[in-house]
Amino acid sequence: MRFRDIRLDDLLRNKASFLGLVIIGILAFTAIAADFIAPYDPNKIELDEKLKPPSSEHIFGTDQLGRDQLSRVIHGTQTTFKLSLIIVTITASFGVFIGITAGYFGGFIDEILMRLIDVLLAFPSIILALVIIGSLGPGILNTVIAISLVGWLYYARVARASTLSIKEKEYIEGARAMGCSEMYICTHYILPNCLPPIIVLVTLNMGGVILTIASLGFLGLGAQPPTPEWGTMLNEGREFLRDCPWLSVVPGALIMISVLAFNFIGDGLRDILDPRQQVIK
Amino acid sequence: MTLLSIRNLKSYFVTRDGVVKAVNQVSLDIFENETLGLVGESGCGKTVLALSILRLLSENTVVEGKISFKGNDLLRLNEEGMRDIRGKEIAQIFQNPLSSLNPVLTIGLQVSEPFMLHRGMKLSDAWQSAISMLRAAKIPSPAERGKEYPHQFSGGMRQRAMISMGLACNPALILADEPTKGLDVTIQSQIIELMRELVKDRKASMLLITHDLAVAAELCDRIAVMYSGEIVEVSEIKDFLSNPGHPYCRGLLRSLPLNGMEPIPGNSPSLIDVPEGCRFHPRCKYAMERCRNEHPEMYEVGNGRKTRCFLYA
Amino acid sequence: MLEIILKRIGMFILVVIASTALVFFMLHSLPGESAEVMAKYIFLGNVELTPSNEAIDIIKEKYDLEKPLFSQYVTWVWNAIHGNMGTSYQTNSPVTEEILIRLPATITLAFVSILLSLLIGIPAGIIAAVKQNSFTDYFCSTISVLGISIPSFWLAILLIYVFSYTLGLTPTMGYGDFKSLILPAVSLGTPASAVIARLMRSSMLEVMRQDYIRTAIGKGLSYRMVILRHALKNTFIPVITIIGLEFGHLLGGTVIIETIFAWPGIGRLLITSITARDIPVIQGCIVFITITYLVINFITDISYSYLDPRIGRSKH
Repeated sequence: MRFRDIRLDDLLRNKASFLGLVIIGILAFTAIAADFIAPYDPNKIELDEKLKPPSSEHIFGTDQLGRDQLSRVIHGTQTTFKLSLIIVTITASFGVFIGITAGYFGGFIDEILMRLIDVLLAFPSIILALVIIGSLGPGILNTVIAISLVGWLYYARVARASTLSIKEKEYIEGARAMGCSEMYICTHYILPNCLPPIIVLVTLNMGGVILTIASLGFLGLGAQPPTPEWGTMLNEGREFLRDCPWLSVVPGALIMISVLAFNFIGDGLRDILDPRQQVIK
Repeated sequence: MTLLSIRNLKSYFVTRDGVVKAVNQVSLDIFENETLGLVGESGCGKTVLALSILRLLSENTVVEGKISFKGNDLLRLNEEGMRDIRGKEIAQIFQNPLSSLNPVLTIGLQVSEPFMLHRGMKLSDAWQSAISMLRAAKIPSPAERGKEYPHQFSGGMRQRAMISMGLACNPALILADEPTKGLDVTIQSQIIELMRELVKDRKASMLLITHDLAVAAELCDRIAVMYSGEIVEVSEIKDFLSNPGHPYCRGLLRSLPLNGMEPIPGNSPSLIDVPEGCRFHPRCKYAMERCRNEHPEMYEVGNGRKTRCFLYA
Repeated sequence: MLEIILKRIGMFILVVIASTALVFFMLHSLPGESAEVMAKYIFLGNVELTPSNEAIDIIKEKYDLEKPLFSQYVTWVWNAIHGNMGTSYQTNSPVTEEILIRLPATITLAFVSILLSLLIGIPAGIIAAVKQNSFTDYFCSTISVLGISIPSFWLAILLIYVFSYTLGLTPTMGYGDFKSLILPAVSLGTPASAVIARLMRSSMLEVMRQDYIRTAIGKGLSYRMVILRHALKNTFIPVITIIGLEFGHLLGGTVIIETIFAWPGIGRLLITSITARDIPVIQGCIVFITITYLVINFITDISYSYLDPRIGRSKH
């Protein structure tokens, strides 16, 4: 199982992951171009227009302050994607760094790190995020901090496990015999070889991070109004559920679709990377 | 008397990289009360051949041809009929007993299963039979060890357990796939001794798959050599050892430590992309023009010997 | 076996100590702010006003906030062992009491949800694996990938809209009767059952590829017997661990679901305390949830070594 074994055409051939890639592509485009494609200003309040059902003017209707729901979810895509990208980048790089260091050098550092991870994993992940929010207070920055502080654990674990198996390989011995420095071995031999499981984890983790951001938003502990964020919107819309279900349906559906898309890609990647799956009908 | 007769057996797998022709047009007879050795390099299709007989290959394998056993064509028998053959008429002893024994069930229960299944015994009776079977396989204090799990057994003991499981219902034919693989040399000879004893005692036939000619020489009456999914030579073991016919078999014998360990040049071909003509010709020092273009038949050489080589055409 | 259990118990106690310490230090790393918040509640009863410095000093004095964190922690642990986890800033009643009042609600919800998820997830996973690549398999797999992707709170909202508002079958909130339990349990149990079904399926497929399954078929066992006697026990070994982890997820999920359905449990208490920055209650809830989770994992660990005879001998 090596990095170059991930072939894009394999991923495209798998119907589910193809669908996942298309959805993520559309959502990513929406996030980047939010300012241009949103028909209205997401925060423009028009009380005359409040709680309007979907119409040709407002495709997804308007909320309790008369803001255009479509523009808000478009900007919500931006909020969610920006936050989750930041979080995944931080957690993946930090986790992989820690994991490789611990796995490669072993000994005391490894022992301490693994015990720390054991303790941190003793909490259900959202609970730990809640502790951090509980001590730092609600808000978007604290959401990033809370999720990141928990998120790197999984990357560290996976990277450490791959490192442990890779460092026993003959080519590492060979590289050392050739006089490569430890640093060089870590970055040029270990890192590329532990990437495949990390990539699977990144795609699956993206879904999880999006869910956690939305959960915190929904609990009123994440992004604060008027920031357009799916979870926060869902929470605001919940009050009007009986009469204005579109306010709850649309942001929720978007959360689910993005998580689903990442899960599709993750599943596809895992199938490709699992050598036993290569026998096909 | 022929016990099992295989005719034109083909076993193909479809993979991403192409069709793997693991067994290609194999015809082979196993007689009553004989041990037939099946030798060849790893990856030449020996194991797949054995698994084809009991239809133990995964569903994405294409198996064609005819396998006659006691008047039945095993490839056309329904699943229920097949279950009556497996373990009762034909038993398989697998390689790597650690992975072939269920890690979460006791050895005793696993050996009892054939008795319950094919002899209709209750667990308590089957357990007693299993214990005596383990005793016959020379496992010390079988009553206690029967309650243990595979990981508590040593490699040799696991293989003994495997053998007693296979021989439980006195099958007419035993398919033994590299039963000594991965064992220490001293343990290997004990296992060989045990198999000789148990198989001969029960007047069973055995197909012994191995890549070790020394093991084959110890146990077998006849030998069949497989190369790249095909049988290239079938012969009495004595004739084979003194005067092998096929150039590949000569190479095999010369590569033994006893005979100077001279390797056969080149590598065995992949089963996806087999050479034109004779499959061995790229590695054969006797290769002629004909070998490159035509595929050789099995030619009679006398005394029941057959060889797939134009030198004997 | 006894030795393993003792080892696990030792490990368990260590993790409990370490995790409570972690929570304690995290929540108390901002002592000034926390004293300020306490003063707001205790003297002013309102978060919007700013308390005077005297008020803050009195609070610091009263709650030992000037002492080093470590000695505060030791005092807290000592009191906690004796059932005293401090008093709520908001209600002034003991934290232990606040938690105990809400305990039955959370236990009922969590227990019914995990039961539901096991009852659906395990059979669905087995059936999907046994009938691999059939319509049933695709159906189960599609439902379960949807199930792991759906946010439980959104599912809850949809269920409320359909079953409470549109069909009028269930109450939108409340606690006490069976009817009001249905929607929270379904919202919480569905994602968990999807996780379990997926894992069950992949674990089963993995087991069915093993050599010992071929051995079992080679003995002449029927497919049914192969599954029941040879495959299931092996399949459950990895699943057991995940069921423990999933229970943790579920406990986390109760936080959200209890908030939506106004379910009077510990999760809702936690959220209202976080919003009010009522540190002793936050701390009590988190410690309680964590210990519950650790106990569950402890039990799964033990049943794991019971199922897998190899554990007794080695591991690491």
